Amino acid sequence: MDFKDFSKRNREGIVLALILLVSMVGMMIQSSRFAQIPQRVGMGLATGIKSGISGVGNFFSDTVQSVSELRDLRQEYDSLVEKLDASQQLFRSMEALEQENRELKAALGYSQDLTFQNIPGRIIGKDPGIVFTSLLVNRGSRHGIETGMAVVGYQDGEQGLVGKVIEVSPFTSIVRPILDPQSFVSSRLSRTRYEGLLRGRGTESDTMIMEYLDRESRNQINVGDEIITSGLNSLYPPNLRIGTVAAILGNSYETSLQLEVKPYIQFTRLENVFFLEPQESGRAGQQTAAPLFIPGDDSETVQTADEPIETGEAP
Amino acid sequence: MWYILPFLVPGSLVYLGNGPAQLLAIYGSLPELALIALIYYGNSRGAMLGQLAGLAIGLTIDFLSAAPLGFFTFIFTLAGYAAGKSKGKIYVDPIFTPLLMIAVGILTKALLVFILAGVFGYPEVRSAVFGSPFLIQLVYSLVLAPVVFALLSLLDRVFPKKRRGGYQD
Repeated sequence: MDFKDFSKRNREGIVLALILLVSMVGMMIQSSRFAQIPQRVGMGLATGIKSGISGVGNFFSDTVQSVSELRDLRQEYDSLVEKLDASQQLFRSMEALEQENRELKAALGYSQDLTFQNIPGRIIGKDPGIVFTSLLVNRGSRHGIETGMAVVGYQDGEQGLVGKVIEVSPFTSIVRPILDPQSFVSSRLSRTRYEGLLRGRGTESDTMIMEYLDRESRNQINVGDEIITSGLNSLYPPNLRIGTVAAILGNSYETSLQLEVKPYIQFTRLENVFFLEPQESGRAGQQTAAPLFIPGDDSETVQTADEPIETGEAP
Repeated sequence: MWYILPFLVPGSLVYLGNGPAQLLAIYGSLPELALIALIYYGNSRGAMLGQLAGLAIGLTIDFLSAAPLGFFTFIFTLAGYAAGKSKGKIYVDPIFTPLLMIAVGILTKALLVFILAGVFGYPEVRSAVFGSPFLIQLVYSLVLAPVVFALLSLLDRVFPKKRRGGYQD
């Protein structure tokens, strides 16, 4: 039996073996930089089609939704006017506090904080599987997105950490949400300043677990306390809001405490995100700029809290 | 069209699951529509077309998800090949056979995910494989399997395989 006969008779098996071999090699070298090139090319192609499909779908759904949106916008407008009045009063007192804060920081010799610009993006896809969780966003390397960037979102006027960028193609990027079991965030309690490590629990739960907290902190932590990023592992910038304590866990024989954390962001109804771009500050006294959300704005404009915002007419 | 459908239909279902179909998710779990379609086409077209369709679908999922390149390619190629090997050996009735094939397919896929995640160093993924979302996904897929099989069979009747020309009376 020569090779020709063998390959003819076992054609299916040979093709299968080749594909499986290439797949395994792909998985093995996934972590190397070289291996990410075919992934990026393929992701560019696959997500290009995805962008087209979602573009057509969005056109139709947006048209249908616009009617109910107008009604909702009216209600939102009324409530926002009320909030604006309250905010103006708050702003006046905040100015005084900011001035005081600047003076105190200067006195204590604080180094300049990092400022963050933000790039807005829209979620165009979510991982349909149950083992990996990811968000596909319509902003890629052409818009300045890089692997490792932190991503935040806004919901009901609340800012919250969404996750970080793990893959980038020219026009799209994949974000690993903090709920993913492979996500770990170095975090701390905003009030008591205790540190811990926050990990996701996947699609099984909409809460996360904060581990390795000092047992001594048990009496000082309350349900509802805010959790923020600590910035210690430098993957995420410090002081980004994550969520609140939903429950205090941990047995008496364990050496550390565990907290169940409910994120501010409800991932099932998240539509827009903001990529945070670290930038060296050249201005003294500048704080970490909160990313600004402009509803409906799909432009590539990069803004910081310091830049003036052009106000348009209310819808 | 006979040869294009095995790529087109499961591929479209992958994109559907990635976007609009998220609205149909029950506690974050969606049915394995692409796998159901792949098993149907593997069973009706044979191992070669089944594994090639599996390759295309697996690659698309790898590119659209956070999975490492090759992860779902491996699983779906193997699923397409195995389904293809059953061609002509199983009588496909409207309800029982689709249920059996899909149950075996989804359990095998979960087992492969578990093994690959262990071998290639994704312990967190491994722990998420057999959780409650998996059970929801399994039941959801089983409920829809006979419907999807019936629809795809109807589609095959609309676009039948072209027979080679020959002598006719």
